[in-house]
Amino acid sequence: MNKIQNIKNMLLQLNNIFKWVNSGGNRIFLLKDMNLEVEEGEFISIMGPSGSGKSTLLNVIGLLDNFDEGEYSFLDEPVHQLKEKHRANLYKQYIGFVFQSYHLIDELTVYENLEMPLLYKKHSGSERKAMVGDTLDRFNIVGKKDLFPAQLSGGQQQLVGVARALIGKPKLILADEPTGNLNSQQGKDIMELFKQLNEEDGVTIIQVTHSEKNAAYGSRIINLLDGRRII
Amino acid sequence: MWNLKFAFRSLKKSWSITLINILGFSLGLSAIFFLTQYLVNEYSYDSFQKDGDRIYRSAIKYYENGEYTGETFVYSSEVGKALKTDFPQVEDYVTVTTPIEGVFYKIDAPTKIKDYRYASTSFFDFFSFQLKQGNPQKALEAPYTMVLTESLSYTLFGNQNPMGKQLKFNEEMYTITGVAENPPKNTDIGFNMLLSFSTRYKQKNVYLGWNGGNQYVHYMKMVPGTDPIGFGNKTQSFMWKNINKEYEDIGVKDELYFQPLSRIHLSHNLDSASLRKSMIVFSAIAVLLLAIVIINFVNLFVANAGKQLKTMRIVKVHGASQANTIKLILLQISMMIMVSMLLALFLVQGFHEYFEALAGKSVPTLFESGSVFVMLLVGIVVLTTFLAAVYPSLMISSVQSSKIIKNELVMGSSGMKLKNFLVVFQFVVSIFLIVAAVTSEKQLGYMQRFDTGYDRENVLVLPLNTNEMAQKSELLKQEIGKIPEVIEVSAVSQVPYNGLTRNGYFPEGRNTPEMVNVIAVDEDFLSLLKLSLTGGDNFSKDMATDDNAYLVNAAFVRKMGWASPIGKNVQRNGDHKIIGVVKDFNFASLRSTIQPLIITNRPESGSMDYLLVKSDGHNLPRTIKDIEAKWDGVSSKSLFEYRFLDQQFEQVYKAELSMQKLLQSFSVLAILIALMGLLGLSKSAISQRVKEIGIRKVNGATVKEVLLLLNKSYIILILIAFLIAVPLAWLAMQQWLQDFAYKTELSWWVFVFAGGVTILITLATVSWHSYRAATANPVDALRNE
Repeated sequence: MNKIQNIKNMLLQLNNIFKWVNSGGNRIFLLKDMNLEVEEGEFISIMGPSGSGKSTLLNVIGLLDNFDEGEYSFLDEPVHQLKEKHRANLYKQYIGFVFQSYHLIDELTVYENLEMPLLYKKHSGSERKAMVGDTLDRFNIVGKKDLFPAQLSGGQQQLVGVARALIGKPKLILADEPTGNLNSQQGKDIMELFKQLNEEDGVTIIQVTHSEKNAAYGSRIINLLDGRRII
Repeated sequence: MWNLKFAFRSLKKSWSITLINILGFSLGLSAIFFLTQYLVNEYSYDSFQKDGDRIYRSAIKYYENGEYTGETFVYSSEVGKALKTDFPQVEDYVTVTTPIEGVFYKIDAPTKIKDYRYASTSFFDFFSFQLKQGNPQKALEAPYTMVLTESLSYTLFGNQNPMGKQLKFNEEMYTITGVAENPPKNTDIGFNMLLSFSTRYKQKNVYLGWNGGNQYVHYMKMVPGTDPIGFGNKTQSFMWKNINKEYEDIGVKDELYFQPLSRIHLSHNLDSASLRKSMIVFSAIAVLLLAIVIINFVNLFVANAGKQLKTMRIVKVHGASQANTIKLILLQISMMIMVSMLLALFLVQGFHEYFEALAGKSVPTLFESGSVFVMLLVGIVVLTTFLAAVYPSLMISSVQSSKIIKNELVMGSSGMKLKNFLVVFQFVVSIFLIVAAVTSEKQLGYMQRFDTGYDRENVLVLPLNTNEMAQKSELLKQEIGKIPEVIEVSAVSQVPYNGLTRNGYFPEGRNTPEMVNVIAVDEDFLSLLKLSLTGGDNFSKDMATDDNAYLVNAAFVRKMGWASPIGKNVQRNGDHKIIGVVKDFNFASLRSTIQPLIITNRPESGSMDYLLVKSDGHNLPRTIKDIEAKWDGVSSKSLFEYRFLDQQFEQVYKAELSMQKLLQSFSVLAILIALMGLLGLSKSAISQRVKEIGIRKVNGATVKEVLLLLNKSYIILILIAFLIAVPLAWLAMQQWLQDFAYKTELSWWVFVFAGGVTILITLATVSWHSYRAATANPVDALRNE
């Protein structure tokens, strides 16, 4: 554990990132001169009021959204210069998402929901089977593998959501208010799980949260207001 | 496998819309499949004949004083044989008569046989009809021999072997020398029975020469490489030698030309023009239906895509490419289409008879339809899948994965616009079809109620279908006249409801013959049909001079430009004096105006062919029984048959009737499918506005106001559709009505009716959902958020 933290590899770096939309002749900035460095193994909480740009920042970091100005390098690759396909590969390989409203596919069982991301990463059938099996084991949800999302509690659904984000062994997990729809006990369980993943597996985690308590799980807090970092 | 599972479960999840969609789709497809069967069948007529590209039918163009006056393919008897003798280009020929019906006797039991023909010896060599029994080269060689179809053989003899058995026809015995496979439905040379052509030369009272007796059709098989037009031109001297030199004095010339077999059915038959018209209408209906069905499918699928959008975003966030997501959507769509297809195939087979009744003719079933149909079927399905899948799969698969975090699931405005366009299109088609159906119904009613100038109520038509009965017609007439319920009886040569024979006549002052309709009747004809004379006298039994007298109709007098027609002379095989003028009546269909008519009391064949019996109509079944008893009393061996004149009259408009029924059914179907789509659309539209409705109601909107708000957009769409449909329908109907000499008007109320019905049904449909939304408790709607 110490060994990982000592090496301090740079995971991603944002330099002077701007993102805006034009509305009625005015330019509205979603992100303004954003600078951020994230090292492997960090656990970062992004905080700020509604509309401060938290989700936009998460989208940009997660390669889901483009930006208008600035430089972004992910694992020393200059994202802003990469072709779409290359970027998609980076993203498939290294990034996992956890959502506030879980976003499990209702028509699929727990097992199939976990298997879904692997389908797009060109794993063979037997590989997928092994990986899903391992994950079910690890998250203690073997007994629920044939249930559909609607048959699970919110906490259990988010547990599957986290398991799904992790199944491809990503370096970075992006979580958008992962406990927003959960009660306090369920929320606590998920945050404990994040902490454990971060400390034991060395997974880098960036979470957006409104809760000071949840933010405290992280090693660093980034505060946003009107698209800028404050402090 | 994962994809398949997912597609199946998604469809199951929204089963009500999936069901509506599949139902509408398969209903529409089944109608389209049937129309395709019908069209393929019409196009494939006689395409199965071997050497079909070398087979031609001879036809004649008539010229009078150098002017073209018409053409026919039914001509005198000797053309085929003479052509083969004179020209090396003709490899072989077949002469047949037009199909007619007659009464044949198995021992003494009469059976009426439809569609029997005389056919020359090489029939089975020449055409691709197969003989099950008998020698194809010899079966039709000897006089008084005949070939039956399998099905006729079964009706007459059951499972017995009919070969060598005999049937009696017009007091002569015919021997069965062959059994043919039933001819396919797509042939113009179909038959139930063939009699050897050589029999014709033995029969009495049969004219076989060049100058008349037009009831023969000749098919030629040309030597490969023969140019039919060039060959036709070379027959000038042939025609001169055989017939035209006799006609020269009167300025008449017959010109021979050849119709290629492949074009006969659609271009050269008597009903080809109306057939082509029906085919255009049917094709148009098929295309419109296909468009409606696809639009409906797209609308329903997209309306229900809210869930799909979310799923596609999740999948994309986890690394799926657009190709992956397209595959997912395509799989769902093709699953639905496959199921609809299968259902449609069942429907089209299950409702085959109903469809046939609609089309007014027999059409091959699914299993009888050939490879062309199967290929078209596959083509339709591929095209449909493509058209139905393109928009939804692109729209749904192109969602941006970044939107997933903000959970935006509302469709863009471009989707809305397209949806509106598609709905308007459906309404345009619906309104158009309603106008067409109502107008054709109106025209049909107009024709059926039209005062044709004669009274056809309670008039029975008895065909004198044997020589014996025809000769005893006078006796039969007297006997039937004794029945108390019978008011009047008249013998006629033809029944005047669907046109009459035309002959050449020389009216006084004319050197060239006039082709005029003719009917032979007795003296009771005029009073039986309540026809009145505008001048002169009717035939009477007492006047010996009447033997050569004619009555004419007013149209004849007008055509001749005569001021006082009584006493004028008309020549045909001797002189005939005009003794009376009959008020005009419609003896042909209402597609044409009233033509000149000559009424004689001496049939050229020597005997009358029908009895008309007018009864008081009080107890028709008993009257008919009494008539049958009298009939059997006169000749026990003749088959008693009767028809009602008014029903016969309606039969004339069979083509219009079936067109009208078809339009009616398909407009109902089109509206039904459109409504199904609307039901789904309105459901999804309202589910997107639940919150808005809640807010409005909290702020004091009444149920009525909310309903108006929700339904307003549909009313606007229908109005737009109405404005587009009215001019289109008006033009099309105007065009259609031009075929009729007597036509109803295009009334404004038909258009108002079509628009009104569409609005009413549509409102009822969308209100199904909007009323529930409007009356829902707004608290529930807002808490949902």
